[in-house]
Amino acid sequence: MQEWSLSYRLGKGLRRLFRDKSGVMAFVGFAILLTYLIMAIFAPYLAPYDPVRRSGKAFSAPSKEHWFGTTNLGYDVLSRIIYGAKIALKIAFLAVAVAAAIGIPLGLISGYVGGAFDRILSMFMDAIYSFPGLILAIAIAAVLGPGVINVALSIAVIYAPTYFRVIRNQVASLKDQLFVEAARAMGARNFSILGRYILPNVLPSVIVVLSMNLADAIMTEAGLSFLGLGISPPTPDWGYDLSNGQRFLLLNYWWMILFPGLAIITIVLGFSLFSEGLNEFLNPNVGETRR
Amino acid sequence: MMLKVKNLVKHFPIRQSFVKTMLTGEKKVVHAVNNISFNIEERQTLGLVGESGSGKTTTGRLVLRLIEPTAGSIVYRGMDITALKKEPLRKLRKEIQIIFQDPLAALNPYMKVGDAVRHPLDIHGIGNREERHDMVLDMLSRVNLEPASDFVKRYPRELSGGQRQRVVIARALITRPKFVVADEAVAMLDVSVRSQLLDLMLKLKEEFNLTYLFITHDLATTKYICDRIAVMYLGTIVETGSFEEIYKDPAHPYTKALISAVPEPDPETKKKKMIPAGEVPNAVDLPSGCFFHPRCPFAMDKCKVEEPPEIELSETRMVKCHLFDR
Repeated sequence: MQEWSLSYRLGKGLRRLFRDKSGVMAFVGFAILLTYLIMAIFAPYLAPYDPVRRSGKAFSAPSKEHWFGTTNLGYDVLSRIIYGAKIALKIAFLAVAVAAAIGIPLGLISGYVGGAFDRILSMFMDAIYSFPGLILAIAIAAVLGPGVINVALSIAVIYAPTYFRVIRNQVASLKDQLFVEAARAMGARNFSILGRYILPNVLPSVIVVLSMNLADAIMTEAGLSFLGLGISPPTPDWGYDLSNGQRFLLLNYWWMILFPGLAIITIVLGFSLFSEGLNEFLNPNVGETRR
Repeated sequence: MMLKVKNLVKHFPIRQSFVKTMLTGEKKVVHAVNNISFNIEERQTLGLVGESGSGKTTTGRLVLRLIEPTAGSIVYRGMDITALKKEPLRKLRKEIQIIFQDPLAALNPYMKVGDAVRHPLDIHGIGNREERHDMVLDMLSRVNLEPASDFVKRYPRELSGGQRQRVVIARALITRPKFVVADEAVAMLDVSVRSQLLDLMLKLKEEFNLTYLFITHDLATTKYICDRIAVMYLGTIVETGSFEEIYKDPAHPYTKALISAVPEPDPETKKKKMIPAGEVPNAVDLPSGCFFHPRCPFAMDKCKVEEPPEIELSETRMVKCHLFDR
């Protein structure tokens, strides 16, 4: 019974995690994400100032009072970055959740049913996929207007085809597997074949795509806000702060653009490292072929 | 009569370009099963023997209607399975089951043993929660997976090949089916495990009054388990009879060849090997007349043009060969 105890399995998992570089990568990524998550959740307690109120002189350089300096309106940059994590993560998670909620069921059905239905749906999804992501998001965001939900929706439209494709292709090959035929021979209904035999087998790759898309979604959101199509100011948002900061770059107010930029880079890096590591963790075969 | 198969045919279309179909005006098909008929009596075991590509696995899937037949009828206990609608067929599936060759592929890697074995009960709404749980434990101990309460929590990858096949058998038999197709059920296992599983299948047959269609490429295993044997070649049954009859006195030249290929335990006894020349012809362009004539040492002119009839040698024996024409 000892090998079933939680501590044993945890220890085994950790040992597997640090067995090679990818495990360390995943861990570093996870640490970065955790930092940002804590920042987002406890923003009111962590931020030294209110992010949308003048807290000092405009354009003051990083100092003891304002670690990351202040903006042209005298807002504290550090506080805006901490609060910005909240917006960024909220939109990213919402967008990815919507994309997954659309893409996963459609992919399951399309791959399983096949035939003309599958072909038409695949064509439609490929059409969306073939658009450059940001351009499409801009178009949709322009129609929907600013706001957290609208931005999330326009990002979700870009990523739904990713889920669809990943799931559809896997389901199409899984449905010919012997255990699916066995389920049919048992008399299982299609619904339970999909839910209990096919879905669990595609879930690991969904989780990997999920964490990869979160990184992309944050970049797209920042891009939209940078172009003025995202969250309306003065709500703290990294993308908006970037675009605001770049206007004053020639005046050497580097802190207004450096810190939001770093925030975007590190959180995206965190997601990428995490998803890469997770991929190898969930699919042991990938790790073996690489070594 | 448990199962009565009559003039069963299955052709698989070959994918080819539309233009080619238009030009040649013909659609190519793989003739997997060509007009076969056989009966299985209640509580009997019919062995279906043949090389790979002989259509025996296709036959097994056809009689359970896991694939749709091109023509012919399959009558299970007076009920024509080929005419059944989707829902009645789904309900019938608790009575007709299959054991697959590759147990690892036949089990969902993300499903624990207990859940896998219980699922047929869930599907057919047999028993309540506790009853199902008890039935699973009972079934697992019947296939000698003990302690059963330990095995229910395991995943297929944590089991050995023999244990996995026991799980597949448990899953197939939990709804108490009457007719079971065993598709090369022991072929992928070690020889030592193989005989254990054959014993298990025999034991379960007695316990549950099962009727088996036992599909195998290995004539030797049929000796232990089969009451009657049907030998398949290129989608046709060329000979049927009891094991004794077929083993001691094979009638069809192909059966003779098969039996001469069975290894003899005693190296001193020299057997006359009669391995047929050449390869099995492909099932797309079938030979004319008797399908075996290109490889048959006794082939006559007649064999090239005329398909041999099914000739009854005795009440239990049938052979499909011109050598026995009267």
